[in-house]
Amino acid sequence: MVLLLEMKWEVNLDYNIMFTILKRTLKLAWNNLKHNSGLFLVAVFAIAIVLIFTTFAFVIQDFAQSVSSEIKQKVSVSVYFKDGVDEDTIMDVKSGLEELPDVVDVSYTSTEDALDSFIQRYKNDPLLMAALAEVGNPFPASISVSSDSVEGYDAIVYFLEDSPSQVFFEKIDYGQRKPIIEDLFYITDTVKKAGLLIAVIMSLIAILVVFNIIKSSIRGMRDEISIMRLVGVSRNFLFASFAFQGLIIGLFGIALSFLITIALVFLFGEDVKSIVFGLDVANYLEENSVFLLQVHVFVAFMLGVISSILAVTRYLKV
Amino acid sequence: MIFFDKVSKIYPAHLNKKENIVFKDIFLRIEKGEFVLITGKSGAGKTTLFRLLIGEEKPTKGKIYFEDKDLSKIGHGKIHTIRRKMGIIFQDYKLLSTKNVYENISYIMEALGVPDKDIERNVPELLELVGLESRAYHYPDELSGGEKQRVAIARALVCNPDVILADEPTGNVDPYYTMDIINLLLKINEKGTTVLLATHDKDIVNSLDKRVVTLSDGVIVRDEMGGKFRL
Repeated sequence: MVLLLEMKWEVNLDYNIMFTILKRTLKLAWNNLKHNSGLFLVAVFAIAIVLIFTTFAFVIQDFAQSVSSEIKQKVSVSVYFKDGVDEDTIMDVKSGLEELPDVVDVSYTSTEDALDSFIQRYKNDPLLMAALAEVGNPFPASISVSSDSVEGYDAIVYFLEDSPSQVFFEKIDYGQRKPIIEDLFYITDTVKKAGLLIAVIMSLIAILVVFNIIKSSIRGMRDEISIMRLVGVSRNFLFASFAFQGLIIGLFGIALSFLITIALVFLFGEDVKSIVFGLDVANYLEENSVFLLQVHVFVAFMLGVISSILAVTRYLKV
Repeated sequence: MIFFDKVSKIYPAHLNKKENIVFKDIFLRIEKGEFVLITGKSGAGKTTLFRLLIGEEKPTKGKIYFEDKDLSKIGHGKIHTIRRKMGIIFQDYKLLSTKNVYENISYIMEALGVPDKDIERNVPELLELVGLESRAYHYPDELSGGEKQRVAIARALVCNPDVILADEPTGNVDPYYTMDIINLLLKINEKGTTVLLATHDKDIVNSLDKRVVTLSDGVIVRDEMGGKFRL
């Protein structure tokens, strides 16, 4: 019975104690997860799914962006000049076009360049070469202009049709392409918006799923939490241990999503590349690994930690 | 040490339930080192008295002081500092089913930042005190009611409390162990720790010859030194 008097210890708030408490909150978090291993695994899996969605949303976004800019680069308005127009006049028109807003590229092709290019392309076709020798150089000088918006193309055609140099133009090749350009811009914009909307909706659903899984695992521990509070365990200690739980769930979620992504790319990467021309997922992941890891860490930890803290707060009011 | 200053606890009317007045303007002063029995019929407010003391409930009116501190001024974030000075023994034990006997005692010390070597020294001593040294690695489900309550007593002592609040500690215990638990509380009191024991066990009250506070209909109807069980 002398024991009661001997039960004294020093609790100094020095770094050792802080470190000890930190270590113990981590231990409590890990033990709680072990005791709720079923829900822990579901939460990890849910976070992994969110991260995989996020990764592939970035892959698709990047692919759509590159396809869209590639297609846009191939669309252009061409102005063909009449025979004998001097190069200074053509350069004036070129500089005027370059000053227009939304114009991304203006390229000049002289009659000689056009002929060279044609010869290069068809030099192995003796029939065409013979015909060319008959007629000389039939190719007019031209300027090709491209823009990154429908409004940009409107401005180009307005500029050309209103230009004092219009008398030197043989033809403006825009009329036939206008509906195509408008359709193309509409489709790419819609695809981008729809992709973003789907990604946002999927992420919200996944966030709700993760939050509810973590919430139910913590709800299952509400008696333990209230007992600990009643016998003198501080709110901060429990708060920290549940924040650590979220952190651990996030960490495991990152690892699982990494493994699943690698497995998917390994199994289907080549097939995807051959079906969707130019979509090299493995290459994208390799080139953007640091960025993706940062996104994963941010998403996983925010999801895990914030869900845990939100879910535990109500049970700490004891 | 403990002072209930004109404390009322009233649960407001809710749906079909009428307003429930648990306490009405009670005064109660308990000095350091006392052993006080709180008696009364079921529903007289014995448990509520303890819940008010540990800050689990707030009084509707009046103030409660513990060691000159007004408990109403201590928020959720700091209430654990008061609870650590009170060892609480619940009728339903409130042990953590996922932790063994040793862990049920050690986790509070862990949360306090007590060094491992002190935990390793103190927990076996506490288990020895309550006679459970051989059950250290058993889980609560593997213990009898009396053993569970002794674990709860060991846990209540872990922070070296100034006061022990024992709420019907023998309520779910085999009569064979009842006096064991009471004797343990008496020994704790002999060492200078204040003990508040809520019970409606007539034999316990009559055998102890201690201060008896009787609650009935929201008021203290008797407060006698060496009192007997009279409802």
